[in-house]
Amino acid sequence: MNGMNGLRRYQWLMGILLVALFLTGCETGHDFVKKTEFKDADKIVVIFAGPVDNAWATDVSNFSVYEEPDPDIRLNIKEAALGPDKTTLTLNFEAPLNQGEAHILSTTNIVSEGQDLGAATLTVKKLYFGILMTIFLGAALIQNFVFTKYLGLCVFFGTSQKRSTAIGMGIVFTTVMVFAGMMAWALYQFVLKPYQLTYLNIVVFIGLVSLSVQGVDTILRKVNPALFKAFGVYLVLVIANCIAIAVPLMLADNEYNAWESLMLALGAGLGFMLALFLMACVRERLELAKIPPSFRGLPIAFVTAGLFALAFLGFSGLSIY
Amino acid sequence: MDPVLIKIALGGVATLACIGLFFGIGLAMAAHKFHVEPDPKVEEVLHTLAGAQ
Amino acid sequence: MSTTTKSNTQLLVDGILKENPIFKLALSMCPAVGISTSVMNGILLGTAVLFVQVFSGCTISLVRNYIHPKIRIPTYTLTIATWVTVIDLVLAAYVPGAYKAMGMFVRLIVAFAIITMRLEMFASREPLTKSFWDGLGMGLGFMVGMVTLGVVRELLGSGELLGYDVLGFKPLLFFVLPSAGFFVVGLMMGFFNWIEVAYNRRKEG
Repeated sequence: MNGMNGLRRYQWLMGILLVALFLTGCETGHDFVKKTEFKDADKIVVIFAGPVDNAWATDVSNFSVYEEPDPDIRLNIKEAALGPDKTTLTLNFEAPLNQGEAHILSTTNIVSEGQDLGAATLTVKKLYFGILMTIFLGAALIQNFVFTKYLGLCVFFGTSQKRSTAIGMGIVFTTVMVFAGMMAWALYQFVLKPYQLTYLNIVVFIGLVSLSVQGVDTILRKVNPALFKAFGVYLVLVIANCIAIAVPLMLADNEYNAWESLMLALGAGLGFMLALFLMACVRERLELAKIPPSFRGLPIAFVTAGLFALAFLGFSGLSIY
Repeated sequence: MDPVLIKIALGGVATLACIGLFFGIGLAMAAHKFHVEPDPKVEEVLHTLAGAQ
Repeated sequence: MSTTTKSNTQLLVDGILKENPIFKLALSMCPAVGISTSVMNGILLGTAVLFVQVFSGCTISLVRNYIHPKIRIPTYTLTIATWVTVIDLVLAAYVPGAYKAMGMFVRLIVAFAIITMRLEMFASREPLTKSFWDGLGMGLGFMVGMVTLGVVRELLGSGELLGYDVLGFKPLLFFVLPSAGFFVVGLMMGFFNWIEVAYNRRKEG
């Protein structure tokens, strides 16, 4: 009951956070334009508040589009098509769009039922929340670190024998990962990159992971001895896990910002926990199964993991946003 | 050698030293603040058990 | 002060056969599953691991009397990280194509349990020459394991060795697919176990 109350206290905070994230993607820049969005890989859809002139809308030379960071590179529009209700304009591009970047769409004066409504400069971007969710789901399911990237296997096979161990390891790993990921992001963006010290990435990141492990160890030992007794043994194993060093390297390679880094670290941690839990469920039953003697133990665990890897291939086409 | 390279190398040394010092002091303070007295009983038990795995 | 009675050659051979990092100790499985699809990958990553193992072993062995026991693990980690950075930059500069094929695995050598374990168990106690031979044995053992896996997967999967067509047909295309790594490693481990059991039974009977 106590836990529920604690959760409720933070609900309003979560609500505000979600609304803020949604709002960042919803402003368009012109009163007459209701909505702009990406469609498929190479289309931008603009929805107007009222019908627009067909001749104006289907003339490609009325529009010019560029990615926000490079205003000099205009993207080639193949075709502009107006929907039957005359409010939905679809721009077809020659090449697929880089939808991670915001695109700026500027038009000549919009013509609607003979009226001139002035020129518009519109921003087209994916909902930021969508990008974050994509990174999160990508790290947890689609590009699961264990089953599709083959990382962290030593610790994975070592701690997936029992469900309780699997959950303990998963929780500890996620916590340390979030700490270390955020510190790595800050150090990379504010120290290593500005001073051209990216060649120190590996040294600094592995140091950070060890530091977070040591820090969590010291604090947990005092603050919650019971929790430390349950989870303390897994802390050392975090350093020996490839994923712990792969996440900081990835967020540096991809130049993620703070929120994206957080989502990557969280997704990696939860994805690892999911993999551990699934594997532990199967391995508990394998204990009772009749397995050829030479396959007992690790070999059959590898084959099981292979089956999981094939199952996780099914996530490869998944995209929600 | 190119002075730019020397600058980058020395910068790396200085940065690593600073980071190490900063986090070292941080960890030392944390260890001091969250110090736990080792339980003498645990030591005793471990001592009698030593060698028996 | 040396505590091992093994000769240098014994150390080398033990690392390759009796204490093979991949098949005997079952450590550093990530690259064994992830990028053992070709012999070339195995040779390159094996070289990188050999380099890091030998050089970090020698470094730790040289300074072993000056390391405070409380901070020995962080010291090992940072030493390994330094040598990994060196080999990472060298490979990226001289073999960019193959380096890209290996993805992040060269940089992830820093988290391989096998290297830290050897530093803790061997290099921190033994003099320079012994550590050098032990590192060489372990590194070669890893390379042999990776190349064995690479030969099996490349030969059975695509009928090639080092990119040259050997068989002329593809017996089991499945073996060379990325997601088959788990199956191949599991089946080979089971196969080696089976040979060992059969061999022991024959010796007894």
